[in-house]
Amino acid sequence: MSEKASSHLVMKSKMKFYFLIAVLTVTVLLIGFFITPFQSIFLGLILGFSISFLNLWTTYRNAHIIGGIHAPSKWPSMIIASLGFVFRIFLVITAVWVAIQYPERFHILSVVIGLGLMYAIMMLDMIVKSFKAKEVK
Amino acid sequence: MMDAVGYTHLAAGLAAGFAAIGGAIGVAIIVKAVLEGVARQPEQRGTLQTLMFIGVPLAEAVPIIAIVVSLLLLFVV
Repeated sequence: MSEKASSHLVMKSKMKFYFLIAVLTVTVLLIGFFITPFQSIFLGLILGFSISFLNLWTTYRNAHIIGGIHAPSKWPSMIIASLGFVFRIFLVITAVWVAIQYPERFHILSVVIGLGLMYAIMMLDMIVKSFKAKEVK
Repeated sequence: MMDAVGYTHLAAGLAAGFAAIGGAIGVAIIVKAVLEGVARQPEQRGTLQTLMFIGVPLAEAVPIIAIVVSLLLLFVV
């Protein structure tokens, strides 16, 4: 297997794992939205977390394009590759704008917490992985 | 003399600005380390690229959250 392909597989498996975690988290948040009376809080968390995951996916696509796995000539890849950080900031600003416009539906603080949730999951994953690596040694 | 609104705007600007500096330094350190690693061990490129893929969003999280905080300072507080 070529080096580029192995890199692609490692990143793809990592992204699959994060996608699974994201689906699980959104399911838990949806259950909270439908069961508990704190609907605006859970809706805010869902909005923030979705944008956070979209940010991660954009980074994954960028890493692929930089690695030469996706051809940047295709229009969605090209747009995402050319925008990068600005695109992610735009997404976050959109989420906050929506939360400010509809404060009765989205709890603003939970949107902010949701935006940081994916990063917290990634940090936890890294900490768990480093502990496991130490145990193996 | 600056009033409370002026101080709020100043705080928003400072939050976004300092976080941008921190985020830029963080991303630069990560990319520099990855480039050095790839130059030394080209066979480790896949692992390093994956680590970069995880590290860059974590470094970017700080300016993103700071921009959110500055927006809240500007429009909510």
